[in-house]
Amino acid sequence: MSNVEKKRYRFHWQNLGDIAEGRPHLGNSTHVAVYRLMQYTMREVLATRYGAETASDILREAGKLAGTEFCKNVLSADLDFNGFIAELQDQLRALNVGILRVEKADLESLELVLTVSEDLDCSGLPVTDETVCEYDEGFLAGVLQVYTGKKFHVREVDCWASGERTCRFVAKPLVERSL
Amino acid sequence: MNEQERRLLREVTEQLGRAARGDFTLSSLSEPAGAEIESLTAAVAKLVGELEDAQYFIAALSLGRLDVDPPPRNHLIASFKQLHSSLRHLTWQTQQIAAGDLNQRVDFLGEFSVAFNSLIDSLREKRLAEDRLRYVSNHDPLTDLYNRGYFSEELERVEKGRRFPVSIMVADLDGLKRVNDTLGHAIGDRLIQGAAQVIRSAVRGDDLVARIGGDEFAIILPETDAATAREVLDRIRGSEELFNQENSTSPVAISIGIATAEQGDSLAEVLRFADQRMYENKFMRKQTGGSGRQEDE
Repeated sequence: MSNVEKKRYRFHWQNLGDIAEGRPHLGNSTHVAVYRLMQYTMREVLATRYGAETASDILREAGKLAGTEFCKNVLSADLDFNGFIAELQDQLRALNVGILRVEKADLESLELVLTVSEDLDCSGLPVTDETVCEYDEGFLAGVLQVYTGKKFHVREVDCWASGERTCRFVAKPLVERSL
Repeated sequence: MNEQERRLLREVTEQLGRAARGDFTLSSLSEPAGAEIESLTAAVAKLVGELEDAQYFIAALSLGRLDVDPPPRNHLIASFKQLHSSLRHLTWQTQQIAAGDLNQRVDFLGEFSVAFNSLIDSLREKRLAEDRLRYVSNHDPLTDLYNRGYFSEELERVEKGRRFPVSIMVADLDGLKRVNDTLGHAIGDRLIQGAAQVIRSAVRGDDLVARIGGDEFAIILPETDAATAREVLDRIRGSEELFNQENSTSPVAISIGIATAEQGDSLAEVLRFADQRMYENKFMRKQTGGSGRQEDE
């Protein structure tokens, strides 16, 4: 992480607060529509102000930060790969984020094909022929980076919004280029 | 609509009809068309192309060819893509099961899920039964220590390994026969369990403790020279003292002999040597009436 990144890095897991204390009657769940309302209004404002591509980049970067912190605070990065994926599956399901499945996992090249069904971000959206899960792309990249110690490029190749019934992500380690 | 447009529309209709019969060959219109017919022709060509891609993918899927990737952005096959994805995940899950992970569950393929999960449950039960059987065949039921059979196998394995020097300790519970004869076997069994507890609490995680006879125990201490083995012995004596303070009505007295092997030595020979020293220790303890560290010297 560069010094600039360090300086602007402000998020800590504790920032999520003590939900049990703060919401004794309403608890820690809310309607999926509320989450989407926030995400898609935020996306629109970002796209209007900075352009669609930059808005996507910002969402991806936010997702990566979320994935990084999620892995550090919720997952056990010392498990073997299968155990780690199983735990990730369990947590994403328990939190109603989505149903994660592995289509392919090449443990030598670290290339993965993952699918997420009933995705919090997109499942049920109107079909627009475009993938919309940039936040998920970043989230998975962040999780995989913490677990493997390597930077990942994660690309969504299928999405509910592009007309599919499950979101499909291809994850590959980023090749570090020397000058 | 003029006559030319009608002719061209018939050609487009025939194109669609051929596609419906599985002929996806695209042919150009026989004469120049206006913008609307061109637009319709392009849409039909796209649809026919997608139908062809869909047919190829579905045919491959029906043959179990999961390596054939689904065509992107093809809405005609969205449900088949989901099935393809589920089957790929199932393949991955099956590979994990083959590698020993019996925690996989299937919950996305209807009745098949129930049957598959039932199969996993059976495999898990079988593995538990095998684990239990393996445990029983390797352990002494009274003390939960390893048994003589496992100890002998382990002795051979360690002899072929590189974790030398290896020390071997033989321990014998004093006076067990007298206790069995006078107080009964139940009390004798409790003494054996006490001795096992004393020894187990004093050794290290890598050391192997076994009950190799009625009142006899043996310990393999890998990567342990004579001086370190002596430290283990001191810990056993400490553990024995503590046990006897806490169980003053049924104290244990354990005679112990140690021998150390270097690479190339026969561990069976070293075991005999440790056994001999144990008897010497027992003799000394009888002679002196002692029950502790002095007789270990």
